[in-house]
Formats: sequence, C-alpha cells, structure tokens
Amino acid sequence: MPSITASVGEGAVNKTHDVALVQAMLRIVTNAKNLPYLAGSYDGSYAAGTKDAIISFQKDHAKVIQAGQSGKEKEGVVEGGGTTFATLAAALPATHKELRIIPNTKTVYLESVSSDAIASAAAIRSDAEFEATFKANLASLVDTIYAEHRIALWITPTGRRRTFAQQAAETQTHAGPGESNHNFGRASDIGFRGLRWIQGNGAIKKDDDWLNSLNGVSAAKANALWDARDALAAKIPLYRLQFERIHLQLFDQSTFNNPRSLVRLLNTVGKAKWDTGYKSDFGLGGALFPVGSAKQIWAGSATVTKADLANALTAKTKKLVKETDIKVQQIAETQKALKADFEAADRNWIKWVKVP
Amino acid sequence: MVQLLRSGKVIDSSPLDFAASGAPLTIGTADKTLGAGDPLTEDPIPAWTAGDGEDMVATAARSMKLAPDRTGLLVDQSGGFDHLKRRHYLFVADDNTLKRVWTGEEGAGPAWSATILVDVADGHGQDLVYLTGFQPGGASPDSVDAKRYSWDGAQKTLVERPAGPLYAIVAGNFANPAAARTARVQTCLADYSALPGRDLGISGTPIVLAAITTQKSLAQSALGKADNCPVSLTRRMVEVKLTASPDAKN
Repeated sequence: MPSITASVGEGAVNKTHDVALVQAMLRIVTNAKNLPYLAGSYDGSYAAGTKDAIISFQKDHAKVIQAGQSGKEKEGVVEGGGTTFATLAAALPATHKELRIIPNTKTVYLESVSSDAIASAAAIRSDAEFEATFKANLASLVDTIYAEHRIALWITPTGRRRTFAQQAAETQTHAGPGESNHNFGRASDIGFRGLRWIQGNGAIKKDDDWLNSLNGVSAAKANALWDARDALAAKIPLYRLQFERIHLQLFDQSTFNNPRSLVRLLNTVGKAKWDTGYKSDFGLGGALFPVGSAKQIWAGSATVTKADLANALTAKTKKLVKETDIKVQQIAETQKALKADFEAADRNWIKWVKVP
Repeated sequence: MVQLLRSGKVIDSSPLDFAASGAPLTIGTADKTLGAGDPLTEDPIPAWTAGDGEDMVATAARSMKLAPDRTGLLVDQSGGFDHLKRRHYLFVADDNTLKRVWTGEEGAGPAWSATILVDVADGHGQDLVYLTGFQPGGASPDSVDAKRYSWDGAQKTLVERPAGPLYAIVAGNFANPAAARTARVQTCLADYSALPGRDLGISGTPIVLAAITTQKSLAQSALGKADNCPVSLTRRMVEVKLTASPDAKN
C-alpha cells in the first residue's frame, strides 16, 4: 500500500519522494478516455503538469473524495491521510497496488515478496562460509531493509566467500589469492533481488541484482538506492567500499590492510615466517627474502632465487652453501612449500584477523 | 583534475570523478584492468597511479583526433583494489573552456569496460568504440556490448553511430555458462567472456568463450597466441556485430 510522508500539490510540502510517488500514481491511473492523468514521466519535481493532473483526478472522483471526509479536500492538494490519496491508491491496477518509494529518492518500485527476504536471510544465517558476526550482521541487514522499505536483498552468484583458487581466477581485481575481503568470509556482494521499479511511463521494469537497468537510465537514481541500503548497513554495522556499490564487509576498509592481514594469517597457520611485502624465511628460520606477489606464490612461481636460498641454507646449517649448490628441484620444492602456507591460510580462513 | 592551458597558464579545469589520494604519483604503463585501449592490444599506454589498497586510482590520458583540426583528450580511470571500477571521459577545448563531452561509467557489480580509438575510413579523424562487459556468474551468461561514437562538429559533441564490425576469437562449445567458466579457469583464456553463441551469430552453440576486438589484425595475432594454451580448445575468428541492449527510460 503506497503512502506519502507529507502533502503534495499547490502550496504543499512537496517532498521529492512524495511528489514522485503521486506523479507515478497519476501516470499509472487512467481517466475515462483511458489516458493517464499525468502525461509526462514522473520525476519528483512539482510543476504545473502535476498540479493539473491532481485537479483533473479530483474532479473526476469528486463524489468519492468528498464523501470520504467531513469537509472538502483542498483542490490541487493530496494529503497523506486524505481521501484523494486513498482514492488514487484504490484506482491503481492490481499490478501496481504495492507501490513504494524510499525517502529522498526518486524511483518508485513495487514491494518485494516477503518470502524472498526471508529465504535470503535464512540462506545467509546457514552459510558455513561466512564468519559468525558477519553473517549475523548481513542477515540483519536483509531483515531491516525489508522491514523498512519492503526490498529483498540477496547475495549475488559471485558474492559469497571465494577460495584462494577462485580468487586467482578473478580478472577484474588487483587482489591476489588471500588479498580479497571475499577470501575470509567477512565480505559479500549483496544486491537487490529482482527489484521491480516503475519506469517513467508507468510500466514495470524488473531489474537484475546490480540495478544495471536503472543505472543505464540514471546512475544517480541507482546510486540513491545503494545509498539507502548502505544507510541501514552503516547502523548494523556493515561497511561499503569506495568504488564498488554491491560489496559490503564487516570492517571499515580504512582500518586495515589486506596484504598485511594475510601475512599475519600466514604466520599463524603456515610453516614459514612471513613479513609484509611477501618476504619469507623459506621455513629455515633465518633472514627473510622477497618471494613475489600473492598471485605468483599461489601459482607456484614464487620468486625464489638460488642466491637467497643459498644464503638461507648457509644461515640454517652454519655451513657455506653456494648459489651453484642449489638445484632447480630445491627451488621448486621451496616454491611448493610457500604455496602450501597459502593453502593453509585458505583452509584456515576463519582465523583471519585484520591488521592496520 | 584536467586543466586547459594557454601559454602555460591554466584557463579552465575540470575534476575527474575518481579523485586520487594525496599520495605521490607513480608513472608506468596501463594494465588491462584500466580499460585504456583494445582488450587484445599490448601497446603500452602511460598511466599514473596514486594511493594503494582501496584508495588506489590509476589514470591514463590519450589524445583523440576528432577531426583534421580538432583534438580531444580521452581519459581513463580505474579505482579500487578488491573490486575495480572504471570511468572514461572525453574532454574538448571550446574557446577558453574545457568541456567534458562524454563519460563512460560502470555500474555496480562484475563489469568491465574499455575505450578504443579507431581511425575512420577517410583518415581524417578517429572514432571512439566503447566496449562494455558484464560477468554475472551463476546461470546467466556474460554479456558484451559495443557502442561507437563520432565527433559531430556542428553539435560539438560525440554522437553515437552504428558500431560497425568487430572481431571475436571464439573458443569451445559449451552447454552452459558454468561449463564455459570452468574451462576459462583451466586455460589461459581468463579474459574471455562466456557468451551465448547466438549473440555472435553462431548457431547451434549454446555458449562459447569469446574475446572481442576492434581490429582484425589483433584477432589474428591473439589467435596465434591462443595456440600456446596448455588446454586445447577449438578456436576461430569470426566477424561480429554487437549492439547494446536498449534500456527502459525512467
């Protein structure tokens, strides 16, 4: 059931979202000639066209509007609890009965069905690949946004935890295996489940999880809906990223560093000693040597040099090991051991701790 | 920030949507994720990077020959670390003002985009081809769209025109997107999209892996390189015509 927060019309409060909703209703409802009361697209801006549409609707439904109240409702004004609005809502076709709009936005949409939100929250709560606090917060967001705005959120097909192997296959990221927030069950891509929004002509548009259709029409309108999601998320709290809207995570990104957090996990569950910049002692207990990027280490091609390995073995054995003594097989085994630490981090993703 | 200079003095400026942090700039070459140039080209394009982690913003700038007597500045930006987002802009100088006449903007989710400059047939200018892709995962196939823009001297802006022919390296034949994506991971075809065969005019092929390019020579070159992949998939080059899906108007 649609509702407005303040009056719309001549000399009225005319909040953008209220105007947009009334305009959309006047665009959908038709007169005796089967023409919409509002000729143009709804836009949330009150102007002469909206005024004329309200008055025209009131004249056509004068008896009903006047019968529903003690005094005549002011011409050209739609009050939240007034009979003009109630009559307009009653005139909506069955397909458009559940119109909604979020305060400070301009996009009218249809309520999602409650079963979608319930199923989504249940799936999150039972997801063993999410950390406990995160999944509680994420499920709470799904519950809250449905309660507040009747919108169902759900996790996108690629929005759950990613294994290190899955991360290695990602192309649109700078995060290597173990460097993504998605690798540790504390982040998710959570979008709008089949949001049906009302186009300017009153027709229903069913969007995808990412609001690509709405974004194609107006990035500002799509961003306003993401902002509404994130406003509720911030209270839980869940945090967004600077550039990507679909993503939410347990921690404020400005409070930690992904590679440094991975290094801590490697030191917790791995056999070698690790330091920032992916330096490792090769498990030999001496100095640390740079071994390449997370992608290289995961691929089994860590940058282990014969010189570094010789130095590490010299320190370990207290006997001089020359670079020429190092065999290709030893390099390969060291690379394999370094990858094994990454695999241990992948298995023990729940032990990840954020490091500034 | 893009600045318009005359005799060394700034006479106008325009901010970019992705503001770089105050961290020192480093100069290098644009990697593929910046979307500056054809996805299959290996021509180096200079790029400046500032910040690290999620604050990282990379920016590249190229001149675009709009007409024999007019040049624009094409700017590409990417921001982020875990997820990347791109923006693309074309700036032109009009008397003493700097105008942003075109912007390419990615929405939320697993999108990618690239700007490609192509010489027009008469040799007097360049067109802008804007390739966009989306990789939703799950049961849905990927998508790739292309738009082509030319300079309209009268309107002093870019106008869209038919995209014209593009070329695709097509690999494999899969029953569904999941099978194609599995093959993509197992081969060296990470940059390929899992597209419906019908989108490329290929009948009887539900899903193929495909890489789109504007130049036949790049496609031919990529075809040769693909032969070095450890897992063999049948590959071929096809000429395709992609069109962006019309969006509803709000």
